[in-house]
Amino acid sequence: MRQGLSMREVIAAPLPGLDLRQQYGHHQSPAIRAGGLIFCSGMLPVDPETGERRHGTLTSEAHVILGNLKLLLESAGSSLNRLVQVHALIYDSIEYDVLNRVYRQYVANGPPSRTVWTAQIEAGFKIQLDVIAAA
Amino acid sequence: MTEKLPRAAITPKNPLLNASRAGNLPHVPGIRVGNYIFLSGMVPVDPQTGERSHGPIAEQVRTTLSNMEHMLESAGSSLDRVVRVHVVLADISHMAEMDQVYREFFPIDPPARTAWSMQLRFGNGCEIECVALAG
Amino acid sequence: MVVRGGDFIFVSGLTAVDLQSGERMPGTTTSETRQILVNLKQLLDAAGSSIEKVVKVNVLLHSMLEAPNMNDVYVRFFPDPPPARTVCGARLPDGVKVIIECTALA
Repeated sequence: MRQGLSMREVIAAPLPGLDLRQQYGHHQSPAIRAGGLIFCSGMLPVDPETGERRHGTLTSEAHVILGNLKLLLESAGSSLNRLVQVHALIYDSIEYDVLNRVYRQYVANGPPSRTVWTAQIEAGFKIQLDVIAAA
Repeated sequence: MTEKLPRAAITPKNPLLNASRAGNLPHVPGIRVGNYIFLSGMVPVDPQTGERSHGPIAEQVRTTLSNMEHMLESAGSSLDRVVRVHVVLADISHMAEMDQVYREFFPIDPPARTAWSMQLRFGNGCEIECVALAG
Repeated sequence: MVVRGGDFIFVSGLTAVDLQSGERMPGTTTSETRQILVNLKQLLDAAGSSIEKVVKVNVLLHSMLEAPNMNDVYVRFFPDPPPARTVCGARLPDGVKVIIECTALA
């Protein structure tokens, strides 16, 4: 039976570290499913089990983030292959090529649309990914 | 059971506007999913030559929005089906000039818009991204 | 400012203004966040949606140091469980301290 498209469903954190509301008091759910799409909160490089911040290079932070997104989306019945929009927030545009080198490893199978934003990110992280996926 | 919306890449009829392919970049110019089209951020590119097109911000915005129109029409959509726009300017003082040109493209019932400034690469004065309803 | 498209309502990035007059209401990040969210509630209700139907919020701050101040106000407006959210710092127009945009179910 087709799910009512007017419903808004909260996707809970599949692991405690990804519950940033619990960990850091951020008033947000990890993701919301609605209208056939999954809107994810900006994903940060935190340890998915413990929630500890995993500062590092842009490369190492990106790997943590993309691993976290994989966990989150798969727990919701979606996947990185079903991403439709990505905002890649990076702390400095000089790391654009570095971003691509990591990112490419995760979205090789039909990448989504993407816009790169050079922004100030929480806790001095070098990267944050804000994504929407198809459910 | 959530209905799985189909997801497909869109490409511009003008191959010179396909920066993703030209640069072998891990994104697509746009994705159609269900009734929505998500475009990657677009920057001022001369549609005749594929070269970066700089100059006064008004011209850059005009070029970018014209290219966006082409991209949407290539996908069977149109500017009047755009629902959300993000305008990023390299220089926040360009807001008024950007707005003047923007209104030429969205004269009636404009989409939701958020505009701000961030560091942009390659001397681009603007980067514009949108979400539109499919045709 | 508010656009209906398919199943969703797309709200423009809002700044702290008086909704009636359009006059800017500059202040602290706290006061601007409050004004924006008061306005947002009004706009969504008028569009036949509601704060409870918001699925995703993007918050732009002039400085990420102000994130806790923004969050302290934000938590009073959005229900439990809250929508998804992304927060980042950027250069904002007209000296505003915060811009909030969101997508809600129609």
